[in-house]
Amino acid sequence: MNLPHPLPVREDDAGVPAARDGEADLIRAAIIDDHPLARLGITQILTDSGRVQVSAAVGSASELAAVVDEAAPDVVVCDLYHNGDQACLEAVATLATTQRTLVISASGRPADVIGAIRAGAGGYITKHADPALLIGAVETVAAGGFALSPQLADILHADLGRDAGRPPGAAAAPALSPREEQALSLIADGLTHAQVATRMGVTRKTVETYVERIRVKLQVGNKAELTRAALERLGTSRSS
Amino acid sequence: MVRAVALFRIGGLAQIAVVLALAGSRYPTIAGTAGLVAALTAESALLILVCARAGALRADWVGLDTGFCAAALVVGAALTAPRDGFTWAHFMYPFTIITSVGTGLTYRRLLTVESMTAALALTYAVSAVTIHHDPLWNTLPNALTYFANTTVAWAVARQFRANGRTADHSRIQAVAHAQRATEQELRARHSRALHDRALQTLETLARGPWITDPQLASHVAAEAAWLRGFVENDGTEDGPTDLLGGLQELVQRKALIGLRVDLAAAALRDATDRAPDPGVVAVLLDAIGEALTNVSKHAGVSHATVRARMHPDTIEISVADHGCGFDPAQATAGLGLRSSITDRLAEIGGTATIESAPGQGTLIRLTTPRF
Repeated sequence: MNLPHPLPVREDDAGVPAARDGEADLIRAAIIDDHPLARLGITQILTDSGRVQVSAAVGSASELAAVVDEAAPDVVVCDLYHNGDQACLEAVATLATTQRTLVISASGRPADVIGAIRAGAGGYITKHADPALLIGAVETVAAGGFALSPQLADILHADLGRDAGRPPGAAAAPALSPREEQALSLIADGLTHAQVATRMGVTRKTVETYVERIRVKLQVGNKAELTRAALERLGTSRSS
Repeated sequence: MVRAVALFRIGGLAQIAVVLALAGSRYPTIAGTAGLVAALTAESALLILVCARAGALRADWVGLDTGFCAAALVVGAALTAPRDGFTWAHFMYPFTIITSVGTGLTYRRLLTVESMTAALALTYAVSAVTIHHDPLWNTLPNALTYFANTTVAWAVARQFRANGRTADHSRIQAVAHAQRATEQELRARHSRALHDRALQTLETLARGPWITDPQLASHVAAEAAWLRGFVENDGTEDGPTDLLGGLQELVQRKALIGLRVDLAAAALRDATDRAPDPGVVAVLLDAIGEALTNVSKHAGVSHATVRARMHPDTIEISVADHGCGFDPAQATAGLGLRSSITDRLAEIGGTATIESAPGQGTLIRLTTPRF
């Protein structure tokens, strides 16, 4: 199968400990999910890929805080709903200030999913997604990219055309360029970035630029994103 | 309204008591007068009792009461006929003037109210002039007062009834609305609980290595797909005439034969406008099923994505896989798809486009009118 993203070449991130011997090419993932069996299932898929190492699997964001230094995750896979009906958007926003966060849920309400992305999450995927898609998304988010799964692209694309019926107080949908919207729609159809590139007559890199711009437009003015960017700049200046 | 009539009755009787106290000595036959007052009191009490029991003004009893009052007018006129031209003594007139309000309050048809008023007014006028020897200039305006009373009472009652109906309607609507909201909230809570517990367990089991028997594994996968459809609809089971329900059922059926289908249907989950025609939905579901069967048979992959979009006049469905693809220009490769999907859609005015190339996966796009 044609994965959306190749195995990313990781640059040394600020705040991430230096690569460990023998684990240099493994992505370190932490999982937050209140459902033990779901934690087990996600761990299994990621570990089986041979490309991801699960360094922590916990039931809540506060549990992760206690072990985060030890776990040193490159990416946090966080369940959108914990013990109830309310999406844990605040936890996602807090988490996203310091961690690259992939949001996952068994079935997310469109508004909650958009809320999680606006709160700074680097992607969204459903729990029953193809294992290859989950692994691809973990890799993308770990590399600092935007994991735009077909479901997420579909939710965002459907939201674009819904300004009239938007509930009061909800943020307006971002204004995408026609090319960005086309790329978003093709990804929602289930096409890989390479397939999108072929259909649009552009390079795959251009498609990835569109995806990144969509993310920036969604998260523009977002506090979590700004804080993360500031922390990264701080880390970069320290390490250089 | 019953209370209003009761109050008017008591008022009528009270004025008789006042007249009797002030001018009792003027009445020629005090025993007869007392008998009439007693009969009036008993009849009034009976009327109030009957209406209070029924919880409403009973038209038949009020009709009888009007007849009784008319008769009492005549009797009263005879009993109180003054020898000195003192018209005040005719206490049955003010009594019936006050109690006639009940007639206006009871009947919904203005014609009925006016007819009964006319009977009462005429009885009064005739008895007042012939028996009581009241002057005509006094009797005529007195008789007309009945009409004023009953007509105003009728209009007020009508307004009250209309207001009551509006209030009742609003209350019924509010109660129904609250009930719907509670039911929806309950369903959402149940489906969220199912989602958080049972669904996650089933999906994890279906995907992991724990179930080694392939038949049992695919059964668990199908149950998980059904449960997902159920919770995504907030716990309502719609038949396959609903596009989203039909798609979820299709995903479940495909899970049974080992094809994992990701459903991207945000547009359907939030749809608030008119549902597409069931005939269109049936043809679309058939065509999507056919496209997914092709993925299973020919693409060499076990995963596909189905996306649904709603446009103002059309429905657009795409079915994508990352499989081996084919050259659509080759007659043999395209034939099956053309006959099973394109022809079927054409019957309802829809179209299908197939984009594929060897090694490039396949994207099928189905577009149909919504209605």
